[in-house]
Amino acid sequence: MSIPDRNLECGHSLEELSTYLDTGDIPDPHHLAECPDCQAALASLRNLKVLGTEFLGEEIAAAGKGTDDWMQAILDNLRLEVRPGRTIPLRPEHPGDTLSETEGAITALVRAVGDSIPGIAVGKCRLRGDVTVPGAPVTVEVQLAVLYGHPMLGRADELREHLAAALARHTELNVAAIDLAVSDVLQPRPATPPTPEEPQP
Amino acid sequence: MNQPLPAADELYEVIRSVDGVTAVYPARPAWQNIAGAALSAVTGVQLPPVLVLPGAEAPGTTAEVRTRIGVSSAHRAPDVCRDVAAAVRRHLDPLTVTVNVQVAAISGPLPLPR
Repeated sequence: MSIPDRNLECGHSLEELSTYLDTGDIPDPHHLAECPDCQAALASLRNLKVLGTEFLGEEIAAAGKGTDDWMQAILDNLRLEVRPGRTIPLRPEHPGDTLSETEGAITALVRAVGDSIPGIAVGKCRLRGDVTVPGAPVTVEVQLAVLYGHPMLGRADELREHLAAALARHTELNVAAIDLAVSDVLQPRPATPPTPEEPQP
Repeated sequence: MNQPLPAADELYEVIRSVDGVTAVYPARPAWQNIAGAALSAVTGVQLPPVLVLPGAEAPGTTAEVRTRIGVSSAHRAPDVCRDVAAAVRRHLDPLTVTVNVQVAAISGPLPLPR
């Protein structure tokens, strides 16, 4: 995959993480065990790689050529989302305690829920509203790339249901709406016709 | 009477043993740890996953504990967060503590709706 080489807050880049997925090489492997941002990025990159390989063809996905604008857009958004972001408060049992979730943890959750549904890749995920204020209404905006041949309405309903359940279970956000938008429809790569053998001199 | 601050390693084990906790990350975001990371690179000493600070108002009898955790999606993340705070407080009793717990990742198989 051709990946914009811009760093996450921890100093690593998506390029480095993609190389790690391909080769297992990274200068400080112990960092991956202690960095939730890198772990979220790796999970999304793995899914993108599977999707790209399956539907664009292995060579094209590896080279980042051809009709991969959608993939570049996803990677650009991923770079923005794999950072802690805002602090989302949780109710403490004991006065004086401060309990919270990072915005990055929740957008990674949304992305993982979307990526778990066949035929969908989450392109962009934003939490609109003041997530730092308990009870404030929040709208979850998700842009999707959907693979050609998968019923969009059925997939959108399924995703909305999964997201509502996951957010109710794992956050204390007041989710007022989940807005889904399909930004890309991906067509599988056409079968390559057999190459005629070149005549021998 | 003044009490020694609890060891971070000991608290790490307490936090790690709470049901649903999959990871204990360095207590501050990485960009705040740049100085610490540079020191770590030179000395080879790993940054602690749990920060234990003396309480601002009564340093000898109070403490503040800060940590960041990863949570399994098989457990409700807010409940796990509260369980961690309760476990830290139980472990440090009778020391007066305030606990700062942040969920930095939620991972694992996702629950099916209803």
